[in-house]
Amino acid sequence: MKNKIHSLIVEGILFCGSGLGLLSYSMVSYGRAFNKSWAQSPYLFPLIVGAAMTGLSLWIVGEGIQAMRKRAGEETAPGSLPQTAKTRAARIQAADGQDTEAGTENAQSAKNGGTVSQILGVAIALVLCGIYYLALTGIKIPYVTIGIFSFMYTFSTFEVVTVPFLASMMAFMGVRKARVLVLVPLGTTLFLSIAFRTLLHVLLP
Amino acid sequence: MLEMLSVIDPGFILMVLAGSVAGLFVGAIPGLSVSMATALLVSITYTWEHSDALAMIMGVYVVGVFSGAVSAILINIPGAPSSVVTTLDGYPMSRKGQAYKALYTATIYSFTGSLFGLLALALLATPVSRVALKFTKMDYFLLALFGLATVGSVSTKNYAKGLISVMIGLVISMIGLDPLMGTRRLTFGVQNLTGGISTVPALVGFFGFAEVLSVIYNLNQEQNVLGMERTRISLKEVLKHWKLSLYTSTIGMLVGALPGAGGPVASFIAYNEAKRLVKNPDVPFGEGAVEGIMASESSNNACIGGALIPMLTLAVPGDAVTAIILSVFYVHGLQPGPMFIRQNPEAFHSILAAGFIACFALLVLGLLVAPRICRVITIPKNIMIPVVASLCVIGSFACNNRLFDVALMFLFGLIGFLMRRFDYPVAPLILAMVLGKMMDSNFRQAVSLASAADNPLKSMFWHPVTIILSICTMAVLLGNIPWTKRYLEWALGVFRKKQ
Repeated sequence: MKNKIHSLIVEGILFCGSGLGLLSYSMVSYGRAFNKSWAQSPYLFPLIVGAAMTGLSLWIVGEGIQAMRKRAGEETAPGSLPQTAKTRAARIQAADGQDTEAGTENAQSAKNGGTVSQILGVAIALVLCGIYYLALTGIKIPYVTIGIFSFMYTFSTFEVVTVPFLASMMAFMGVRKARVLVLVPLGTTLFLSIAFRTLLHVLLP
Repeated sequence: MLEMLSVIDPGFILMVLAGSVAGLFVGAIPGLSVSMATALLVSITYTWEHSDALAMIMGVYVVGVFSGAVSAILINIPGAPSSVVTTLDGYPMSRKGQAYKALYTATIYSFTGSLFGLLALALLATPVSRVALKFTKMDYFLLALFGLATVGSVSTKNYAKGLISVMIGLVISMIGLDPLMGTRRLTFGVQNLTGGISTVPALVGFFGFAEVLSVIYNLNQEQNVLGMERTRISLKEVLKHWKLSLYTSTIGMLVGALPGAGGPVASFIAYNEAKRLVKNPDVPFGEGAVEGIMASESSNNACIGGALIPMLTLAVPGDAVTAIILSVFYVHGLQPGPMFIRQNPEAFHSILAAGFIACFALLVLGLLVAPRICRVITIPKNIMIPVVASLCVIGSFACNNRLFDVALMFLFGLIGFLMRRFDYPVAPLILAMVLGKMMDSNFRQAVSLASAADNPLKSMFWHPVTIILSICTMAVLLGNIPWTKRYLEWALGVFRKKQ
């Protein structure tokens, strides 16, 4: 059976790269610096952190290799049953004994067959947040103040952009009632705006 | 201790009460956390008087830690990590129709636990400060290292992952100008990074936005709210475990004072101790034992006072929330440390006074309001989560009024989400981020001073406190590395056989 690379090995390699990157950054920056005393160098601490990160990443890679060996041993053991995707996921978890909550989530997700849709959900949410951010930076609306008796209400980009953002996020998360999709974003934005901008004097985008 | 009465005025009490009410809901609603709320509060309160800011944050902290138990008991989802243990007996009690009794017990023992922790803070902070005055630069570095090594070990089953989180936090803390010479580090030409990464967007991202993404990821999970019948419960019956609660509160306070540990660890230890000590409970542990709720709640609330001790006297936070409170101090120009209580007595008294007022608010809210909020804590996630996302934007923007921080918040949120998914704990990262600059400057100053001495190693390590801290740090590190752990176990086995 094909031996799939354990996720710990991938994570370890990623952190090893980061650690080595930090190490080389510190060395290169130290080499370019005027002050050649390590004791006073601002790159001493990054150097130590980089070295520690590299060491830890090797530890993680080692654990990944160990977990893979254990898994391979279990698979080749006499009397072992042919594995379905589910039992395989459960065995991987039992073998390494490391992945706790995330591992449980993974197993559950695999069980429900929902991992792809879950990741897609997060990706869509991130895209919506990205659009929200771009709208906040790109759209420039001057402050508009409305006086209602003695109460002055000011609104700007934040309010204009937040209403569609909230509505689209709610729609994406499964709210289907048109009334809720209109009233809740409007009400929430109004509440946030009055609470933060008007009452607490917090600057909003 | 009576000096704290001088800081109390109606406005101060109102701030604590507002914070307490906010804490009740924030702690009870799964998906919102005390860390997230305090992180958002930092950006809102930075223009306020520091006493008002501390009053509100203490209200959120004290009541928020308790109210995690409300959802733990009613819907089997802990509102806060420190209430995980409460679910073990709280939810089974609710299923038996004893939800009110479970909440009543949780309220009473959260109240006594919080009081115990705050009293310990009031009594121990000054003596600890006196000891801290003797600390050298190396001691501060080692203390922070000890805290990070400990939190790395208690926050996850895989120690290497805990330490990797610490390293990521240290790397983030190094971005910007270095604390001693003002040299740019790790900015890669990005002008906005020169001032370093602000704590607030990072906190909001790691706790708030990461939570938003996690909830979206697990959106299909159902939650059931159990009904609650009000029953008459005598205080005498609930208080019959007071002796054990003193013991579990002491555990909570001590674990809280340990830099880096916190409520979840304290409640696990206290629960195990209660299990060990109570041989014949009326109901077995895990099936609705009142003693289980008592142990968990008294210990995690006693942690509050305990965690504030190292934060105020050594500037080393005890848990994630105190790390955030530490940033509140910095935002307001206050410098915690050995001289803090002497130089800023009013700030110290504000914390104590706010804590004690919040304890009584906890009692009132826990007995009167908590049983009635079962409907509120089940606000549909598809409505709550978008609102939390925009709150994260407000919180991250408000601290420096720049949209670059909002982008950073989104980035940190994504990193935080991935860390959760792959079982990398976030708490060590936050502590490392907060402590990183202090560690860097103290370490380099210690090395610089020692390099001028005849025997640099002796000059750095030959002090009683330094030796103790070095041994403690080494013990934590070696005790958690699997190979050394195996070797130590083998050596112990050989030693026992010889005996």
